[in-house]
Amino acid sequence: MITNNKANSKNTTTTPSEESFVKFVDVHKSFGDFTVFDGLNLNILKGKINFVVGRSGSGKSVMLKHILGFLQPDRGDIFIENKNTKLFNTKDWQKTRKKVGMLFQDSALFDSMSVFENVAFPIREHTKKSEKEIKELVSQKLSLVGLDKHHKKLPAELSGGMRKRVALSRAIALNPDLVLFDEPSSGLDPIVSSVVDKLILDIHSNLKSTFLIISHDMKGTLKIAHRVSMLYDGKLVFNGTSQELTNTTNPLVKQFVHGRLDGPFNIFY
Amino acid sequence: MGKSNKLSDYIIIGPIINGLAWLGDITKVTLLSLFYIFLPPYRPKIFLAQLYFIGNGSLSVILLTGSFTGMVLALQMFEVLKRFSSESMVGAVVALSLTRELGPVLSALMVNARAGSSMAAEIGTMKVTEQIMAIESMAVNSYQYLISPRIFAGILMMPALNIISNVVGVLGGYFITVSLLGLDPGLYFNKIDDFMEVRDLVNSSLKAAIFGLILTVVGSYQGFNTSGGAKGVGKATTSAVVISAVLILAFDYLLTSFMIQS
Repeated sequence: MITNNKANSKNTTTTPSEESFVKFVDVHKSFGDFTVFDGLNLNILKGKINFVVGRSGSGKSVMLKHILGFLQPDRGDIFIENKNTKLFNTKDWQKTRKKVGMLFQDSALFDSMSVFENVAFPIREHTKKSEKEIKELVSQKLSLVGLDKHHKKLPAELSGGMRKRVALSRAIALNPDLVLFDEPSSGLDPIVSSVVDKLILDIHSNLKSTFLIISHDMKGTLKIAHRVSMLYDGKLVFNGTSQELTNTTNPLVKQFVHGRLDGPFNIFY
Repeated sequence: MGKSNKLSDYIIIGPIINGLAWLGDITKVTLLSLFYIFLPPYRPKIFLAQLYFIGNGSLSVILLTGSFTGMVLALQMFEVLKRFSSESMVGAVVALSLTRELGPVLSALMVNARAGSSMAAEIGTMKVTEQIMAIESMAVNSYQYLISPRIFAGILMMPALNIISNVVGVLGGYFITVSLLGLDPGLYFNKIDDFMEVRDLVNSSLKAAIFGLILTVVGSYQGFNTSGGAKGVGKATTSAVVISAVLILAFDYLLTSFMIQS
């Protein structure tokens, strides 16, 4: 399904059989004079790998902060599992965050803790597992990303790709219902990017959770996305499958996908 | 940049408004963090690490500061009191000056320079590298995780460090006046016994605990409000040390006037 600026209405984006985990309804958000969302309508589909693409500064990271409750919309509603976040108190947000894992753009690993302690952090905080159980669980999560032999290392001793993988292990440590990825392949070489893409696919088939990945790596997006949404000018301008993204006739989306200089994009914004 | 209508952007009113906003916010953070000390989950490992960092880590600097302060105070007082043939009072003057004022204030300033700055830099770095957001995103209260153990450790450790500072200061004074200047050893300690009261020790510990609260709260708070990368971390560290030092001196005056009156 393809939408454009005019078609960006509340009843876009899903068919009745597709249940959404997160739903943005006519969301507006500005920072001073700078408008980030100008009536955003977006559905993040349950159990799918959802990609949100768009240029730097298009509000992708701001979207994640809204889902985690770090920012509130100026206008409009955000629903998480059909509950309006406007009605959330601190306890509701804490409950929601327990169900969400987040992979930060720069990994955000705790630099004073070892790899093991980083992955064990959410397990220690939210479960009453014994040390033996924690050790087993951390080993299992680290082996999923191929880092089972690096328990004792500090984040500073790891490469960028390895840090991303540790952060991914930490994000999925509690088997979350929703995993948020903030540009998982930024700053990585193409091979490591492909490794991260494969890991995302493997982990998704293992967890069956909802994945929301924000990215501008079109190669990875086309390869692993179940659903792609594109933001431009504070609105949703495309929503569809990878195939639909490749075949789109929307000049804005085409320009972004192919990285062309000529087109409707305001290059120097 | 467009015209701003915010009061905080005006020349004279701006700093006052910003200062009041800072005061309101840091008071809120202090009260919340104190409250969280008593709420589960308890994290004894982090608390013990902070006790060790503030206490054991500051021990050498406290020993040096305390002993040199006691020594120089004894030297000066011996010379002054000798003019009135009252050099026997040196022990009492040194002990009272250290316990009532110099011990808690100098210890707090030294711990502030060492531990307060380190807290601001550590938490500030965590802020700019999104580690604090990561803590929050994992449904962990970052005030309770980062600030509460530091405050609690500061409140408990500063009185202990203050007592150590006072003891080595009195011993330093003893060494100068008795061993080098020839005062009778019995006189030195007798006069301390005559003039010191339990109230002096209690007030001294109370002051140290409040200074411990100030330096840990300001260090953590400035770290929490860091923005702008490495430069921001440097700025937060400097401001934490300066603000804490000024607050310690100001609170010293307030507490002293309150303690003297009561």
